[in-house]
Amino acid sequence: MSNWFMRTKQWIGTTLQLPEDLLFDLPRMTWIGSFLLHIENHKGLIRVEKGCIWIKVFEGHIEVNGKALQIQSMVADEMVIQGEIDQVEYKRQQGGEKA
Amino acid sequence: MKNVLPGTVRVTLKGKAYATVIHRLHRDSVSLHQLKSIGEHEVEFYISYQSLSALRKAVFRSGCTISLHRGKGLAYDVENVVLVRSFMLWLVVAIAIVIGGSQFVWSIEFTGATPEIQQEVNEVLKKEGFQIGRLQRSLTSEDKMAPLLYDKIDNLSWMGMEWQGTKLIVRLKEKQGIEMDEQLSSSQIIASKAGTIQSMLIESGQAVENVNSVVKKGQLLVTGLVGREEDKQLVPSKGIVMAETWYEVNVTIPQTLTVETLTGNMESRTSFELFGWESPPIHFKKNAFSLATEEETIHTYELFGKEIPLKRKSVQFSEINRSKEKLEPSQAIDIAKEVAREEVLSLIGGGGSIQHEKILHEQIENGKVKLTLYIQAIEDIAEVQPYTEETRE
Repeated sequence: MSNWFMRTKQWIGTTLQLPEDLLFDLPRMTWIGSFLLHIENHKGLIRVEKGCIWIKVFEGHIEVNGKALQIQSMVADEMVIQGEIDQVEYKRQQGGEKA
Repeated sequence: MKNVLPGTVRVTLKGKAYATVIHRLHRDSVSLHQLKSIGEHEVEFYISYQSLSALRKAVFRSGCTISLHRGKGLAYDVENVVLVRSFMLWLVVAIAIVIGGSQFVWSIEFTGATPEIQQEVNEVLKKEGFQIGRLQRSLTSEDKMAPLLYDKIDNLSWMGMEWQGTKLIVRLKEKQGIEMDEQLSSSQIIASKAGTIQSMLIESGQAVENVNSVVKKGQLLVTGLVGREEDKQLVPSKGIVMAETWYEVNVTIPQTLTVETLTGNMESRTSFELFGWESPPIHFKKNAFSLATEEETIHTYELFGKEIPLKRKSVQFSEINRSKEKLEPSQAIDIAKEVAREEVLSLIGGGGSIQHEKILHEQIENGKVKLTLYIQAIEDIAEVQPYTEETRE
């Protein structure tokens, strides 16, 4: 996304006082206990292993670490991860990388 | 069928570019379930049957291999059923039997009218081929049947047929209305017994005797010939003639009386009955009493307002003590009188009554009471008889 478009969006958002997650497709996560993670607005999967799952999101990716991880369901922009989740990390996009 | 019914397929995806494949699937908005890694560069997930074509597209030229496994869902269940050929065959056979069976008459039921009319209708219907096991189509229609039945059965005023599946219900209605009196032939009334007339109530006919006159058995009381000298007419006679009659009754009764009394000892025997099969009794001592009355009660059980075929049957035995009692002469006479009265009342019928009674003779001999009673009673002595010429005077 080009910079000026982003800035316009941001300006509209602040002027109209809209919540930012709606404007920017930002991920929204709900972590229930240590066994269920609900992610909205994801952009797809990058890696699936037993101990970690990488999920592509707006401007970066999320790393979920744990044991016996499993994606219970993955529909249009919702994902439910099940397992013993130890760590959830938000990795912002590095300079050259593109979403 | 599989394209419509819900069902899932288990997919194993192997290859370095598995992430690309999943990404493509996600882009095509295919929902994945229970996705997990089962090895290096190998994942397993479930997708719906309908999205298999999307999966094939996604895998195309990705360098990954997929293997499909049998999943679960209604689509597979239906497939299983279809695969079992014999099941299908028997299903078809069963349907054929049901459809075929419903073409026949399985029972004929009559409602309304009297049983006699029902029986007559049944016979006529049987002749016309209305029998259990016949094809429904081969039977005569109601429109043709009705006139036939009206013609053959006089007392039938209406009939209707109704099919309830394989059951034929024949509704009948009998003719109702004022029944015309039968043309009575001319008759007269004579005395059935000797006696003194107390009252006469003559509905038709001409009384010959008066109240207080003594009549002999067979004497003419009411004649069927009425009218003046010139034009006498014969009519049926009808009426009630109450007369005083007398009876002599001999009664002999023993002076000992057998009395049965309940001792209060009771024993019960309970058994259960299921579908007509009766279980052996529970808790029952054999030959508990030498003399006992039995009282049987059947208790039924209900479930959701419906009777279930289980019944509890209990028989209550109450012990009886039989003893002999000697009667006083006066007591014995009272009993004898009662016996005599009942005997006379049974002879004179409902309309009569006992007027007076008197002991003519009493004798106590060998433990027996012998009694001769004179009983005066009022009863209807009218006896209708066909009119005969000879009695005309």
